[in-house]
Amino acid sequence: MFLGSKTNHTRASNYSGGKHVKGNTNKQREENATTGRRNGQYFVEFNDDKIIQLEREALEKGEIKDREGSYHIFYSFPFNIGYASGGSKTNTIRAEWSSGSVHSHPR
Amino acid sequence: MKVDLELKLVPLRVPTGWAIKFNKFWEIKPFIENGSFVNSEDFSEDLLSIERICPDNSNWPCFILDLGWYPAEDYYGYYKLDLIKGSSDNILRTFEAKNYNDIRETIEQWLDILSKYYYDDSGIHLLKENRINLD
Repeated sequence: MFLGSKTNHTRASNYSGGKHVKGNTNKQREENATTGRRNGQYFVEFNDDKIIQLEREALEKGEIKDREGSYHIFYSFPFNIGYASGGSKTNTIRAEWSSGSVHSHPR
Repeated sequence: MKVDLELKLVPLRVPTGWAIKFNKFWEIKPFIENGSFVNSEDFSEDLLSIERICPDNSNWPCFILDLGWYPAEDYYGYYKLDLIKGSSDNILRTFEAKNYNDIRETIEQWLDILSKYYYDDSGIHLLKENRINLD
């Protein structure tokens, strides 16, 4: 199943005030994944458009789990994409597809 | 003991002018079976995002209600609800609870307050006491 063709990608900077792209440097992003809310953070190299590319690849190749009409998608890239909640570097994305929209964060 | 893991969204009263941008706020509780947190995926850092609809030319502040479970996918975690103004750097208020009903009540209370009042640099004001000049 491929969910990508009719998907509206929520831009990371527009999701809840940019909670997964918080900070202007990777040091700040790592700190935000390590302390406080500890939300997963994308590396600064991945802007909104590049994150959408990651999401598209995940939708195409990742493991899809059906959750009552919406989907959780997990995919590990051959490179790191950011910091997981807690602060460790990760190559895994968690994307969630619902009502034609997808949102993601490093996991 | 058999536990019903069917997923139903938590019912919410949402006033006019707010958009549900993301909703995985399920009417469920964390459940452990044989030492494993079996529904951990449903307790992530992103559960609900409700945003005030703000036209580009509007002076109304773009409030966001953001809900997550922290630490993410941890049985011993809890819900954390943030009231954000614009950017995630600007968190005005936070409420924490283990029970989704407490969160639901708080979301409805905050939405009700924010829909009746307006906010500017000097604070929060009740709309009917400060009639908007439409000229």
